[in-house]
Amino acid sequence: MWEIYKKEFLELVRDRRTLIFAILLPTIIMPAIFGGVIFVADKVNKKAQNEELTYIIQNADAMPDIVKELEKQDKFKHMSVDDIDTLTADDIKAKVQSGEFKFALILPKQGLSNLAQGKQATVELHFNNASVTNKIYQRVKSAIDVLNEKHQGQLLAKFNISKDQLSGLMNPIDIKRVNTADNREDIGEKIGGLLPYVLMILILTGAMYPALDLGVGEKERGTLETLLLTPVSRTQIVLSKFLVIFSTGFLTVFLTLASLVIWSLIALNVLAIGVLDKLTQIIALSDVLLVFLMLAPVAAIFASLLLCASIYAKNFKEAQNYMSPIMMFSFIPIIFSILPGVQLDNTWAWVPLTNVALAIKEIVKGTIDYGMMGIIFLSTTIMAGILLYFCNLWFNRESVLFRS
Amino acid sequence: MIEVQNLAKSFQYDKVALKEKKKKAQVEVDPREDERQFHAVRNVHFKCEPGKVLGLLGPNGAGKTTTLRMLSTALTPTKGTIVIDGQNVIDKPLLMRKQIGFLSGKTSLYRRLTVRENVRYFGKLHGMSGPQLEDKIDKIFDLLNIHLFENKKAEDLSTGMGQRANIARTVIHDPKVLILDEPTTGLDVISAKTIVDFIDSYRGSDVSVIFSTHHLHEVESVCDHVTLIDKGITQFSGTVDEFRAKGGGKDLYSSFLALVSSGEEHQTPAKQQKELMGEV
Repeated sequence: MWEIYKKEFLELVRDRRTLIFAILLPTIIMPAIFGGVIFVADKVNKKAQNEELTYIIQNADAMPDIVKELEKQDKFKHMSVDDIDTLTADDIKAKVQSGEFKFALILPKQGLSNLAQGKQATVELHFNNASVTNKIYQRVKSAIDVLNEKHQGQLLAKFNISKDQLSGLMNPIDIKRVNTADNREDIGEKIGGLLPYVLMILILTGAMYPALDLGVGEKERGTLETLLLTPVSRTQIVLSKFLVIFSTGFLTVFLTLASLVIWSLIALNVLAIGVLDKLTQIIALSDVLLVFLMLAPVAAIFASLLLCASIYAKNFKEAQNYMSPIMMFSFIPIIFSILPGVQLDNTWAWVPLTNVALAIKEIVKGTIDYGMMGIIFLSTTIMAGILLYFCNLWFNRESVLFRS
Repeated sequence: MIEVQNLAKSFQYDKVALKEKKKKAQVEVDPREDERQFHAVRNVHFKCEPGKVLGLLGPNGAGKTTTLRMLSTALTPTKGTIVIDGQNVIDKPLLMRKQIGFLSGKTSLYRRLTVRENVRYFGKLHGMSGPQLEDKIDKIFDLLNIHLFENKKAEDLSTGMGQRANIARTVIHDPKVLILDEPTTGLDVISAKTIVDFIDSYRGSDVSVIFSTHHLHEVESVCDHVTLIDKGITQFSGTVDEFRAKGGGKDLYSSFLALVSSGEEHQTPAKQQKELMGEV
């Protein structure tokens, strides 16, 4: 059995596709893609923050303080347009679209008198908000907030009201939220739902190609029959193939996590990213090991399932047709784990895949019940065992092996 | 010696096949079909002594491959016995595989392993190891002239090289019975000659060779005995001369046509006629 395992693994390692899907994808390509996305997002954000904002102001005489405040802002450029005060909303829209200016501010004619009477003055900001990366609203608001604060101070002094009294007036009874969740639980809740999803996809993609190659691939190439005629029992052949697929799936996720840790440390030290610093402080190595432990039976479930489909298929094309539904049905239990109200309890602990996804979330949050982990490990292992048993049954059926 | 008696194999129809069968039922009647099963092999018998080569003949779909798969232990017979040196293959398939070498035109090597790695792998699966295995590999490679390309990956081999490597893989464990299922199909003349010479080299040895082919000139040149199967039943089993006599002493082709069920269903297509005459 060990000979078959070694041979299958050697063949996989020599295959360029395995190299790409199981090694290069998780260690180089995925981090490069993630890094690239973060890099581009950061660039775009900085560009939006620093880009020159050209603007016009309608009814500029109505509120000269705003005009002055905007002119003081860095990278704001006041444009002059003919007949500015007669421009309609449609005219402004057309000019923003054509790039004549980035935004237009329409000041209310009664703005100053409204403010003098302690009323609110509404300024209209016309800009293209379709682009998610634009920072126009934030940058204009921060300029106007300066004036707001100044005016608010004047009003409070005029009516002889303190800031506390103002708060009491605006919101007589306030609710102060005190989050009992610590920093780790908070972060865990946010990323813990996504993490199992990503890890399980990685196991599935890492195991998929070897499963196809070792089952239907061998059938098609005519090597399975020669293997069946050696003095090795079919159960041993199934177990060897299962172990290779299991190892590859597990190796993929191991390499991914390892590469993420390495890349994070590089990013932390070289780029000094604060979020990563927080993450490495709250997630210990023992947590990572626990996540691995939980993923082992998951890799076993996927390996058995994929091998079953691969052995049953007549040819590569048919096997590939089985892969999409397997992926889809595998994700349903994972999606349960991110539904609101679904918590790790005595019932969910018995539902394969959902239980592991919930457990990983709890591990990351630091709230895992270790007793529950035993149930999860047991139920998932039982499931993997049942699937492997069926796989072995199929492999012993002539109608499956010589299906044509 | 290998002795086969009353061998039969039936396959259950799956749902799709059953549906198609019902559609065809009114058009064709095949004695091998019944309501639920296809009796691919119904009664096959022959024996092959050590040092002899038995040619297994039959038209396409006669049951040759199913028979050979049963002999090789890949399929379990529905009934009958296969005895090698007094031991029933069906009772102890794992043990008996050490006595059997199987090669067909469809089986191939592991593409990403070198020739030596392929042969070594099968040697290990047959329980061989260490210097004894390496010596054995060297001897076979000498015999088949494989050393020149032993470190090439199987995917880089020519058809002829591949078939020689396949032979080495088949005989690495010194089998007592060699089963060859159409090993020359699709090969060029030189590669086919290598196989035929290889079979010939076993004549007079302690190995029994069972060789299925459509090429009657190959039977003429290497076989001592012939067994002809048609519709899953042995129609003839005897020496090559006895077989020739069945066709009026003319040639093996005439004997073949005389023995296969003379019904219209065996109007031999042109391609098969050419194969029989060794033109393909």
